[in-house]
Amino acid sequence: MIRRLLAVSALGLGVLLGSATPAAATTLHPFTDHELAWVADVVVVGTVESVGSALSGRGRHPYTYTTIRVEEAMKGGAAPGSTVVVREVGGDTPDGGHAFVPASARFDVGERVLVFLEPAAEDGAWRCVGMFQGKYTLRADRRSGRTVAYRVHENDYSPAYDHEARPIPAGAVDAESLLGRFRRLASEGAVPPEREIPGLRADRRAEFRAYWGLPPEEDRP
Amino acid sequence: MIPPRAPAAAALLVLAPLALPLLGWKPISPARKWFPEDLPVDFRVSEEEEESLDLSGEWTTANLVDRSFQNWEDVPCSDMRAEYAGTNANDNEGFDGDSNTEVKINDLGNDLSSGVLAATVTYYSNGDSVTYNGADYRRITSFDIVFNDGVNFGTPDEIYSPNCEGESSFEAVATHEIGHGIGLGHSCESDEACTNPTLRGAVMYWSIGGCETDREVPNADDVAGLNAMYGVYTDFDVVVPEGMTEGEARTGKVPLTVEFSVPDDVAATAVAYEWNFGDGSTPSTGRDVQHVYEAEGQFTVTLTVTGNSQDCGEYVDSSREVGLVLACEAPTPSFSAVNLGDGKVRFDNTSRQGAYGCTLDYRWDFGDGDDVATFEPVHTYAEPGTYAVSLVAMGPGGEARYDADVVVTVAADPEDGEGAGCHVTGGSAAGGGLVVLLALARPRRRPR
Repeated sequence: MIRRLLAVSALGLGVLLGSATPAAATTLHPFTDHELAWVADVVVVGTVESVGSALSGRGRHPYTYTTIRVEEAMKGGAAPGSTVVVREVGGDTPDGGHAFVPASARFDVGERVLVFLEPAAEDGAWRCVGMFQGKYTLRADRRSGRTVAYRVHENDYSPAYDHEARPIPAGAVDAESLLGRFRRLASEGAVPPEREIPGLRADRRAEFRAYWGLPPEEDRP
Repeated sequence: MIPPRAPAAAALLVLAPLALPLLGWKPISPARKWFPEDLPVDFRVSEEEEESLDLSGEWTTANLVDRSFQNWEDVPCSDMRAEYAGTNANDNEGFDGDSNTEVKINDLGNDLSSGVLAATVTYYSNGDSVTYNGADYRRITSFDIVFNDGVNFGTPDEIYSPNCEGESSFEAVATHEIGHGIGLGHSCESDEACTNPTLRGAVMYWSIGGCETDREVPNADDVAGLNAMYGVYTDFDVVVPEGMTEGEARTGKVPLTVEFSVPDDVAATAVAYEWNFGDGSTPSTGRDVQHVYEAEGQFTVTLTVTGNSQDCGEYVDSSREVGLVLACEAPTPSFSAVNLGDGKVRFDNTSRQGAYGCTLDYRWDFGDGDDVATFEPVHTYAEPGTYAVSLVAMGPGGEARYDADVVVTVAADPEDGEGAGCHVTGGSAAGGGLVVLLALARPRRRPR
């Protein structure tokens, strides 16, 4: 009897001690450039200074906090030389696991980025609009001698995201052209064409519906 | 209008695309799956209804989620199973990492950004792994799905209506997220790589448009992924003698004879069998086999089937650990005794430690009218004397008894401490013996 109890206890202990580790994924709206520039409160070019994880108030679910030193602000009040903090769902867990959310934006210290941000939480942190879609990596392409821009959408988690170790994807575009387009879109501030953006936060939804003459949400049938 | 379900048609779709090299499905990394013994997946759904759904008809948030699980369960040749376990009242605050599989709505934890319809976190145990169809998987323990607020979701009635006005299919999104919850990743990772219509039309494609139909039933790419992780389940039957349960037929005293057979549905497509009985014996190759376990042990039986199925395509080495057999010798109980003073005696259980599960219970009779069912008791005698103590051990190998006399006397020297003055004389063979214990530690209280 005791052996049986011990075995059951050991099993229970194993469950407690064994790291139960998460991963996640999403269903996303594919953003156009116009939508990205309009939805974001803050659009900046900058360089990642630090990346770290912290647990949420809900048990062991982690977030990743990334500090970016601003080089250029296309939209919002972030001054060049200041920093913005980006909070993404997922990160390292104390048991050595990782809660990577596939399709979320990942950052690497030293990485130069263009990010489209919206408020994330009461603590003043921001988050990328549309997860991976709200972050471009800006990187020198040694073969062409030009700076290119690209986004990374991952299913897989690799313990250390080293942006320089990754090959530049085939879909990379010329960075200056991309930055020029977003500078123009951000400065214009125009509401994008009428196409519903699911999950849009309430103030932007109201603005969008008013602009396109749609009835307020509370009047929806 | 809801389109009729056609599992058979879905199955036919599988056959041709399986031959193409363009399938994109992949497991979430590191790979994980629900282990067979953990199925069905018990899931809960938020008590509140998803605010954007038109629930004027037959639909509720919960039955839409249930239907979405059913989309995966309906895939032929898969053993994925799920069961609705009720609402998760007072627990709708996003990802929490607890042990419950939950579907939460309206993003009350504010975890999701603009443009995200829903997200899933799939929790797994690093400590457990299994090899299945040649790949290693960790054990999924639970998952949380969070649906975003501010999304205009639609029921199947709304999505398939000609009057659909941009609603996103709740069922399709739920089916996609459940796909993550059972271990599937996205069918492709970027627009550039997703020109293949099979990948773009998969449930596991990373995006979905308003009023988009036919995204709720797994397509060829989804089915290939599901079947790689949960497909072609090969099981066997144990022939159960009259008056026994299957558990009893798998468990007993050596030599233990167990008969196995392949069920008709597996045999219908099988062309070869290989039985491994787990005890080092030569594998057998028949459909119906008999095996005698001569030695005690807990044995894992594995059946490997090679076959061909119209529904599943050709399969080979559909192998898995499919059951345990527990063969046991008769128990051999024994014990010794140690004086603890004040008439208190500790009984050490020295019975043979056989295979796990071969001794399930011990019962002690202390010879003074008291008895107890435990492994190693401590008993206090009220007065000195010689007591006939017995220990009975019970298990699948039968029942056996060990008897011994325990002599308890008054202590002569209270400073001698534990074990002082104790000695054991006499043998202790199973079925009889003599243990003489002089319990001499301290002056005892007078018997009441």
